[in-house]
Amino acid sequence: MNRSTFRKIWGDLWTRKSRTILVSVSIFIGVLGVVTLITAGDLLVRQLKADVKESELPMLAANVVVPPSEGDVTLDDATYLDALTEAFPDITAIEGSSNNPFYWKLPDEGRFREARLFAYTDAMSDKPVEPMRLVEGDYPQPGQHQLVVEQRMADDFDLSVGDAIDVRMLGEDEFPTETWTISGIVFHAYNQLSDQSMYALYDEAPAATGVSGLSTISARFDDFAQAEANKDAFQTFVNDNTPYSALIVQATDPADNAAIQSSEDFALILSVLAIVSMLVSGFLVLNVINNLVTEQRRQIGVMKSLGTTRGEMFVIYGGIAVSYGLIGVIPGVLLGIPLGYEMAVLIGDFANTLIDTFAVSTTAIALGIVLGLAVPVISAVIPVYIGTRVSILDAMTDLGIGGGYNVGLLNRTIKALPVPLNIKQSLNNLTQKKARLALTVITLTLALSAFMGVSAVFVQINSVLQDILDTFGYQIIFQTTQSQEFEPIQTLLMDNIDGIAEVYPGSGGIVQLEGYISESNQSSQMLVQGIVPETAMTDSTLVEGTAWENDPEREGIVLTNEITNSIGKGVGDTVTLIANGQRLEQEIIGVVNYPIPMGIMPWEDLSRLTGFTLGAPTPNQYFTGVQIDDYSGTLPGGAITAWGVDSQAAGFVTMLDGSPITPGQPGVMLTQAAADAGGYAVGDTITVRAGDCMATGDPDAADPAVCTATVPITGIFMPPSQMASSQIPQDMMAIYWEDLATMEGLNLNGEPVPNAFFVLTQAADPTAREVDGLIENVNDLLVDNGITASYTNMVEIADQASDAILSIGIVLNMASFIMAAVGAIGLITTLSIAVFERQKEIGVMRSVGAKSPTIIMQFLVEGLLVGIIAWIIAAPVSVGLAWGITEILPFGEFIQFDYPPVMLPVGFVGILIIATISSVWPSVSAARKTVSDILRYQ
Amino acid sequence: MNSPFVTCRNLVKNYETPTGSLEVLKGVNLEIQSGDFVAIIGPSGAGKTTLLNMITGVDKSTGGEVVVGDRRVTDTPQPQLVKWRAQTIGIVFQFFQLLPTISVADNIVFPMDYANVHKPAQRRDYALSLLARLGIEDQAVKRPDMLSGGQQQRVAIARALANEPPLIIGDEPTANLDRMSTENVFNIFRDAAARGAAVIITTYDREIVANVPRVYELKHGVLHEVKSDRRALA
Repeated sequence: MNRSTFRKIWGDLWTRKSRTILVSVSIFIGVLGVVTLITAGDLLVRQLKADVKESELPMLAANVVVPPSEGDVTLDDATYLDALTEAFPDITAIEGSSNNPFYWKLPDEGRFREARLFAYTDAMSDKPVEPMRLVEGDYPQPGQHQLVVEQRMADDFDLSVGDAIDVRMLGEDEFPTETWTISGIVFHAYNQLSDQSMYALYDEAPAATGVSGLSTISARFDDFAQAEANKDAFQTFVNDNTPYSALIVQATDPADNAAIQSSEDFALILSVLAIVSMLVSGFLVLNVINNLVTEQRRQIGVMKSLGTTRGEMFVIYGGIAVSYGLIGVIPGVLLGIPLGYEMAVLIGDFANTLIDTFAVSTTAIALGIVLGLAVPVISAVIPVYIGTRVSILDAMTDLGIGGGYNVGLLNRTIKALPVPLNIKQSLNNLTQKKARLALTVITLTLALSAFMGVSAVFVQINSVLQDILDTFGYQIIFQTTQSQEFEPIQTLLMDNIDGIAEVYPGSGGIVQLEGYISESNQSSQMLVQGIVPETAMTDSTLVEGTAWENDPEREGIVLTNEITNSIGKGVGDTVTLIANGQRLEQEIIGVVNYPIPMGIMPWEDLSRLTGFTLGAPTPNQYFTGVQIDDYSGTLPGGAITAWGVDSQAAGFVTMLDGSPITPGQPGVMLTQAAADAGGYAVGDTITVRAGDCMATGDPDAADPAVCTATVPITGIFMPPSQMASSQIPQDMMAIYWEDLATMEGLNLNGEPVPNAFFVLTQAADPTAREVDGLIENVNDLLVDNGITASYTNMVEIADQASDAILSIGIVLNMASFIMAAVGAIGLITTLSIAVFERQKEIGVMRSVGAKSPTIIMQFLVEGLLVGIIAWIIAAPVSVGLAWGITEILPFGEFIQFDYPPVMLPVGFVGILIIATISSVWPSVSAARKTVSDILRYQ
Repeated sequence: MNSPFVTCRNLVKNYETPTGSLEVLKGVNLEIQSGDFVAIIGPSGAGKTTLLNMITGVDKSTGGEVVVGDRRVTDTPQPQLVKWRAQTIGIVFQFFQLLPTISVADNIVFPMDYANVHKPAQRRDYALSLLARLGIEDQAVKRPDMLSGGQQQRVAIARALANEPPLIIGDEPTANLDRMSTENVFNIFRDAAARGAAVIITTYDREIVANVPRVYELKHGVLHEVKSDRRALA
């Protein structure tokens, strides 16, 4: 490059500083977008790949429980795991874990918080599956009442190594509070509940959770095919050879890890948005260089006459483009690196990972530099090629003998339009510079489409967030540790605590939904909230159906759309709920959009389904005395203990002879002691008397047809081990609980009682902190009255859900801002060039009496027309873009594509504003110049 | 007699227009020696600029030939003419046509850089010496739009002289200048011719016409010699 080339490049950049700044700012924004968005995606995926390794993921995961029929069995989990390893030689690693809720609080807090306590059969430091990393401190030591906290929970609650916490010991009588110490902070990438997770030693966890035994058995095999092939055998082995029952065994290919997959998808979106923003920048540069070579047409002719070849011309204009790129790239990269890191940290929360060490993405930097420099140069190639093709003669004579302006159909049409002359000039200018018009429209269309499409997704996300906040009309749920009647609690709270608008009874429970398999845990169980229909929901949150809006007494269930989509049912269809051995068919009367798959139904119905009733016997916990004719056992007068069981318990007990009873068919099972005492065998028939038919009953009220039954003995069973150690006599009879209750004349349903209380605050839109304060007051009052309870802050839960989704929204918003900025700068640059190009025309117009508003109007019309054309094209494109982004985003069924119509007027008004500013700004500055200033310019 | 440096033989140029073919040059013949100072006059639209464009190779003729030095311009493809033109011909345009974004001195160095004339280290000094010769050395670092019309034209002439071309062509180089500037420009051209360059200008200026040794008139597409006084140059 010779000195004159450098001087020419520098001269063009320096003498047209505002253009240089505008183009460079546009490239800067494009590069900033590329580096920031790609850095964020890259760091996120890199961190997830570092945290979540294929080689550490389980291939089979069995959710296990000890069925009630096993009784108080002593578990030997290590032996069971060894047996599994021996039975399946292809297993390369196996681990048992427990995961149960427990309650903790800081020593100075009044109420307990709920969290999950994890424990593993292997040492935490040596977990063979899904290992964790000790960040600080030590793992718990036996007998020290120690636990470790997941780093993200520690961050949320400001917990440190050495801190003491109060733990409610659910495994001990009266649930005493003990002080445990945090011995360490761990990072456990595989834990999806990281912000509410603590870890204890396997032997010590049951005391805190009240639950013994494993929740999950996880295993790795030599390869996934073997894991899949052994899935059923694995389940059968657990059921047959351990006290556990494997409810669900899930085979998951580690190569298809959902977290990594969704992060890669998200990173892809970020990259696409980044590339689009760079593309928009590229079109802007293309436009600018095109204008530049057009504007310098005469100079090109002169340079050619002075010996500059086309190749050398390429160097000059390519050099200008590279310079624009360099000026934009350097700050774009420097600023994009920290911004990308911060964004990765922000999204990390959503993706369940933790990025706590500053890192740079060389890919993002390289892409930013290459795109920032290459895009302008590539963009410059075509306009420079075309521009420099001009001959010296053509360059020196714009118009001449062959001039053909204003002769086309379009020009004749414009000429005939009944509009002022300056508007006609605007229209003529647009049609004469068709290439510029096309490039400007393309640039603006790209920017506007991206802005409207991305914003549409953002608006949709916000709308769903609002639904989340509006779904439930109450802010606090609390569950008492012991059953409480509703009215006394309501009176106590309403009379003593300010800020409570209403207290409602409610319930909550886990219910099995027939035909449903949860995407997240492959379970058929779902959470169901029992509510007061007329107060808790409004139809504004329903995406389908009317729920209880018109009929609060209506029977039915409302489901979240993830569930309805999963089971392929909608409003009007019927679903079957199973809980506590009971089946309940319910009509779907509404669908809500909520991030947690759940059902909502009237609380009384739920309480009945889950067995929270008073006055009715509870299956399996139903023991009463009956008489058997001609029987003589431990109890006097032919009496025997009758155990009312449901079909599930009947199926789980160990049969010594015969078969279990079947609901709906008459029959009883006897223990061996009872059979021996009565001299009975399977197939014998006995007459049972209960309630009023017993000698101790009311003979006048007795209806032998009801309280007496002659039934066959279907089998001899072994009582569960915990019964063996209880005071219950060994000679015992088991009978289906509904039959027993009928004989005793008891109400099968009983009266439902709430197992939860919902509190509605007086403040319409309280913050999570304000709700926390109210919870403290409620807890203090209840404790003073001898009532303990656990609390859920619904505002906090909604905030947490919102934060996660909002972090993606912020990223999208940033991307749409980049698009809008690049588009606006593009239009400003183009119109500035148009104004500059026509300074002489402006000077002449002013010299013949045209005032500033006339000149400004001319450019304004041009800008508005370009903007409107871009909007017309961008509107349908943005709909497609919004659909694409919604499909790729890792929201599943939660956020579905729905283009908010408001985006169309927003886009239109936005483009009008940008077009107005872009037109008025340069034309005002031009209109301010004196005639002599303008006309003396060469 | 030496062979002519510029030769036009039977040069024809037609333009196709919506109203039919327009014959601008109808077989122009012209021979100019090195050191000649020639003025071409004629009414507006007579084809003076067209004739100059044929000689510089900027425009293609419809018929006939142009030879400059030992190069048949009419047969040479445009890409091959670029460097040749820069080294052989200095052109002064009617409206100066300076590059507005670089300084006056850089405008003069520009053709030297691209024609690779003079040693790179000496080019700026040479440009400054040209400006000094033209009396505007104090304007060297300014941008062209900060100069008066006369000053800009002198810069344009300096640029045309920068490569010391054997042929200098000026298309109405004094059309926008006052009397004093016009005289100044004339003197520069006369000096160039005196140093051996062939100089061809088109002009309306009567005083220039009076002082130029050879004058041709282009009328109705035909070139007529109206004055030939080689002594005037001396």
